[in-house]
Amino acid sequence: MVIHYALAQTRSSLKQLGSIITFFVLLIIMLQNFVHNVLLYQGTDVLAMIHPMELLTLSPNAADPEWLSIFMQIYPLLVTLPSVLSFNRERQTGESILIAARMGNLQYTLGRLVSVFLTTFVVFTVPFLIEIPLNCISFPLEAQGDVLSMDLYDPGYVDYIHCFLFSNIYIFSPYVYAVVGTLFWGFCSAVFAAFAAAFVACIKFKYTVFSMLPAFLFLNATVMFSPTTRDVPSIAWYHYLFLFDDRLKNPSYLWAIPILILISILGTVWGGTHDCIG
Amino acid sequence: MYRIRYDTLVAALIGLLSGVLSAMLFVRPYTGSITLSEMVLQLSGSRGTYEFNPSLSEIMGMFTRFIPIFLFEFYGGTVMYRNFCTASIYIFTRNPNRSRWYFRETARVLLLSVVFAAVSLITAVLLSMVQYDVITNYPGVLLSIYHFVLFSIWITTATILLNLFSIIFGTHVAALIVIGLQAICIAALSLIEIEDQLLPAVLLQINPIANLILGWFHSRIPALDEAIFSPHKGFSFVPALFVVSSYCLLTVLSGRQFILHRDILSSNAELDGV
Amino acid sequence: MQNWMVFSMLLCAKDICKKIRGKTVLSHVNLELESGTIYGFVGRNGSGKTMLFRALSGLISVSSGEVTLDGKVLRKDFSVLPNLGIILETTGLYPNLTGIENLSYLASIQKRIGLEEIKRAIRRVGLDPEDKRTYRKYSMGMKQRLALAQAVMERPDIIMLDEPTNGLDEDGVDMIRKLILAEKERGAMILVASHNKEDIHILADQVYRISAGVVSQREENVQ
Repeated sequence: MVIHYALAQTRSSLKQLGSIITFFVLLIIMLQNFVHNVLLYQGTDVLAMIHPMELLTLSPNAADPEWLSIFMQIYPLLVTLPSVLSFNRERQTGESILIAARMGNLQYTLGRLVSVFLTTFVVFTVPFLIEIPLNCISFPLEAQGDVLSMDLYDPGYVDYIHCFLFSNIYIFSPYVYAVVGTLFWGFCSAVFAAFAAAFVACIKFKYTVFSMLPAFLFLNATVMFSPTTRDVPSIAWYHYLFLFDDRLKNPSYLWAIPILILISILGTVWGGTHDCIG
Repeated sequence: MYRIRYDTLVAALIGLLSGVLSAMLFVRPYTGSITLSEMVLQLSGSRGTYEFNPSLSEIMGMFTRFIPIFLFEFYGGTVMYRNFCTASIYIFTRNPNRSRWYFRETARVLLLSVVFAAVSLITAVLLSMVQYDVITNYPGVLLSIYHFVLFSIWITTATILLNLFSIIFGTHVAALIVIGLQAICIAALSLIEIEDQLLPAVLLQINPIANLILGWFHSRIPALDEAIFSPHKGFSFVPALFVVSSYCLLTVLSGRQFILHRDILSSNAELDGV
Repeated sequence: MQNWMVFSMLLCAKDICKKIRGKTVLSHVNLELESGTIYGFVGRNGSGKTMLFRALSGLISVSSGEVTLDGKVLRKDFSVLPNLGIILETTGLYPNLTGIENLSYLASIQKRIGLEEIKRAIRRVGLDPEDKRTYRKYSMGMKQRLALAQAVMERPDIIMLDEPTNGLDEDGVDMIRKLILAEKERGAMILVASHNKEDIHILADQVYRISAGVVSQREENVQ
């Protein structure tokens, strides 16, 4: 019943205005990057051309820095938009009571958590997955250039590559790396949204803006407290989520993701076992 | 009275947090001691003795300076808006002069913004004095006043805007819009690198965030101008005050018109957000 | 003792229309309402009774026409009717406050009455002013009673009640009717919207029918 409700709720959430707005904001950001690259590189010789996958929106070195900075700044708010709005609304209108009366409060909150995860995953992954075949069609697949103009035979290039998350996949195939990286981006975004949703399950926020504070504070804290020197591993979220990021990372920091998942589930269960007074 | 005392306390607490974070993260005395002027410049975007330059990392650094301000804006963004939520009909039927009600609420937002900005700056200065050897200088006092005034006015503007957008869209979407606008203004700081073109120069001059970066200022006071130690960037206090105040006035006046014509259709506006 | 008697007032709606998102919710409404009279408004759900009250009170603007009170134009000379008591739909109060705290907060806006009058109003509706329970814990009937208390506590000149007997038991309905009649004796102008024919039959001096935003002929109510 939980899965059935979750899937039904996901289908409904994807049609909500919050999800649609978020999707189109991401689509516009992606299209802006794509058009910018097409105009920038048109007429470039294939020998000098950058690899098509390094021109993706999620590749910060190639992206238009102004648009990228705007995207990075609003991401912590955007990631919770599709999910938190509808969850909070159900709580406030009392609709949650009607649903909980039919399936139990715990099943309802767990189903909600799953639907938040799925909705955010779809909304945050699809626009960037679309960009991959667009780039393959628009830019020459033979291009091997690097956006930082590094020589492929330079020993420093090896260190550069090994800073990437999933560097082994990149070495195997940059295209597979792009797909895996985009799915990872969507997965992490969904985890952040689920984290916010878990708080909503536990605490009744009067104003929806407060319900996105946990995710907002968590993501911005990783930026605020991230070491500024390059020889110390970063903790900023965008260094781990973006593709082709050459900043030094500590893969053990990725344990934060399963910890967030665990907190989300535990928080949701705790919220779901309380009296459903409304 | 209880409500305003509570709001003031919350504003002060957020200001305290902001001051602590600012002192910890943005005040960097690279030589062990730091002048007050250098400290205030760092609080408004400079890094060490380098003025703010719009690389991606510095733009994100500028954004992180605004995070405590955004936290205040989230709270302050409900001050006026909450009257459109619970018991809205009962409140507005007891306020025959809605214009007066609006200006009273605007004054309340201004008070909270001033409290936040003051507590934030004072906390940052005091904490830095504890941690480092802070040398108080006359340009530093002037820059502190400029910083306090300009930031207070801008925070008031953004908070009122958040209240107004919340009435239309609900708080979450309003927060996205207001922070999005500020994010665009922060990103647009990169226009400083485009020289000798009229449109970018004009856009930069009217960019409210650009008018908060004291490291881009020049002054007719020689000691102050020397303390800012950056090449002339075309900003100074009076024009910056004019730009930021203009945005504030425009927001307040537009808000008044909006509030006067706003139909009270819903008893709980938060439900009618996007 | 303060004189709470209401001076005679005339509330007029002159050909008011209201459209919301292209849909006409009020159409060419003309009314003349006097103090010391109870006006009943009957109509089905969605006929426009609540919208009419919103328009007459000033909570919403009208697309055309005007509402005047003793010659002064609403939304021009004042934003809302002065000294108005109103209950609309399912408007709630602050869930974290007790009944008396809620009413004290509302009374502090205009500062017309003190704590004693608030307590008196709460007792008039059959509630206990010393009740420490928060609004969140009230039953629907208690919430309705408290809403009525806030509507009458400041001795308003004009009282608009949208479905005042909603959720009340027999005793509660009786109490509300007596309270409304007492307010009429005081000289207040009272507008009552209800789809309950018995309420209208017992209370109203004149009855208007509303259908699809159109207010049709006035009837003298034979009680």
